[in-house]
Amino acid sequence: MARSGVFRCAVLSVVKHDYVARGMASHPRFELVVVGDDPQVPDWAHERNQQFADAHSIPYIRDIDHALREFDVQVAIVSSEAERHCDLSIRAALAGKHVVQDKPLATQRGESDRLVTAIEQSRVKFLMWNRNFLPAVLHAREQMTSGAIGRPCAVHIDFYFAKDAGPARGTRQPGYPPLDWHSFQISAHVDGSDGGVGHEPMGELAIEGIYPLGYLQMLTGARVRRVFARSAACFHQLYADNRVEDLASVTLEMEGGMIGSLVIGRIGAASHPSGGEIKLHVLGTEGGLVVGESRPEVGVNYRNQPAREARQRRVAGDNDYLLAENFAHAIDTDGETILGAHASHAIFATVEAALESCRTGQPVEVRPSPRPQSTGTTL
Amino acid sequence: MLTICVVTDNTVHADWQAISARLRGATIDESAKASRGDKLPEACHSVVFLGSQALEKMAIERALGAGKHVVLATEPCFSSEVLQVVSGVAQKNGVQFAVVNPDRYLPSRQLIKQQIDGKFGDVGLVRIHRWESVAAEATLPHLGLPAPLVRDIEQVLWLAGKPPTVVYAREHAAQESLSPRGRFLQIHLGFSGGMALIDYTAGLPAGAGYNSLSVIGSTGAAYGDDHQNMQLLYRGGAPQALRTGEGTRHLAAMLQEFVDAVATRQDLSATVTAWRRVLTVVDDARQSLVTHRAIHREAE
Repeated sequence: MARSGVFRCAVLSVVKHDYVARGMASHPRFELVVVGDDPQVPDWAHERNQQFADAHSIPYIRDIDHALREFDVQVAIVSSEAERHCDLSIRAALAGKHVVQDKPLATQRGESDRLVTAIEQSRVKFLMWNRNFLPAVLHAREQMTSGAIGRPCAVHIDFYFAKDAGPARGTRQPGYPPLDWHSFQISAHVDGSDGGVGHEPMGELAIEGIYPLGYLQMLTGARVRRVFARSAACFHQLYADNRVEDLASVTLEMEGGMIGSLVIGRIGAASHPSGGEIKLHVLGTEGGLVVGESRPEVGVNYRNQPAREARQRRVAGDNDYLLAENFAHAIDTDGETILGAHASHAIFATVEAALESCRTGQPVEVRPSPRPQSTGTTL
Repeated sequence: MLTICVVTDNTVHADWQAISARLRGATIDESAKASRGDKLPEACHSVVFLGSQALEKMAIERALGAGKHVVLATEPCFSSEVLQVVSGVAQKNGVQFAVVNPDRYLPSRQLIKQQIDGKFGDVGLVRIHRWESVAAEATLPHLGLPAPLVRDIEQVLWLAGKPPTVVYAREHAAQESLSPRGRFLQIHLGFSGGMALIDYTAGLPAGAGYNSLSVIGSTGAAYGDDHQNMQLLYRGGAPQALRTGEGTRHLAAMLQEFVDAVATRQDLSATVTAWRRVLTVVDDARQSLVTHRAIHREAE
């Protein structure tokens, strides 16, 4: 394909928030041409797929192989429940399609290993959707690359989403059944906070950990070797009932003796006026850097403003376009994407180790990821 | 009217006359300021030791033995055993001995603590970042950790309202190669239903430091952060960020609380107990640094 050509995209199962597909479509080199899913998915999934297809005036095909084969697509965009991510991505890769996938990478180690192998053997490109091209994150990278703080020694990330997830912890009446994870996530689709949709409950480390760990990876390039983590269900009855965490803290021990920490949580809408506090603190041999990830932003306040509307609004963000641009460039040049399969697997392994540390109460070595079989061009 | 003698050093910059004017039921006598407690006026009823000075246990015992109430608000310079001995001397002489972290009385910390008690629910997370320049570092030889980090551990226990059940500590492994730069440390605490992380360094170049405190509870949160409290100065090139400080009013608040406690005959030995608990956490942190293991603590 010519380097200015348009990539035709199949959207494979867009049953949760659709920002990955929309994000790719925002770039002129990516065109959504079909939505596909397996015929046996439940009715609510078919309904959402059809709604998305209708909104974009493209067909919805209840046959993934057919969608991949018959619409001359080069790219598959995977936005299903997390437990189906790997299966769909692997099928797309084996069909020779480049893959853009929503987070998390996988819910099981074996699946994530298979995905990395499939991507490599199929020699297609893979992009895990991320936030690495937010203006503030790019600014941090620029400062570090310029040597402003010397060699990094410690990186600390605070990543709080001030969003609700159902009733507050402690509000379930005696005798009432536990909240069902799957049902709740389906109903959360209305406000896009259904990132954990699926039968398998997932805590915030698994659902959102890719974002801050993606920052860490981009800023330092260092592998996490060992972690110590603590977790709790502090805020939401849903998480407590399903024994997953809505708050976690992780001590990170990285290559080169670097240390760091991550605190991540879905802390409830009342706990921040604008959707959450996300900050990067980086210490180096020559100084330190404190970055508010939401900047630049504008304060917006007006009479009768809904309580849940953010008072500080992000502006000048170009993350979607830049991710799509990065993906196009990787395809054009046979290079690496900003967050490819191996890097995503390393993040998965870090989360896996953190969850184990929460269970054991001791630090846990991060299990190595499969080694790349060949070296592509680094972008 | 209680007369308070302040014994301090040049690390504490305060207008003691102005602070004295704010107190009810007490006044400050500055005459013994730099004496290290050797020369205390007869007329003073109580002595407050402040600052970074290395104190001799004897100075405190002398004050207690002379029938004076004592507040120890310096850097944490005594071991748990010494604190217990000194507390015993106070009891024997029928006077009060309190150990206090002055940081508690900063307006921002007081405001956050007030919100916890009533608005934030159960504390889920306390997160502190404290960065200082290499010139400021002062590792306490008997504790093995820098004084500000020990004070921050005390802050965490105060805000969380309970002791931790597990302690894990790590240090930047390559720090030997960074000499003469300071240390990069982090302390990770687990509580029943919550957690805390403290990131400390004395590795900044000479100049201002950075401090940030976030407390997230089950129903609310507070963020007391230098980042948002900066003013900008434009003098060509990139602007400078200047921290808006909290002044020294917190010293008046600390002294007033002490004065009120003495007047109402409260037993301040609980402050010694609380500090001894902090020092057990410090011990566990040191052990974790050496063993690279998480130290699980027995429930109290």
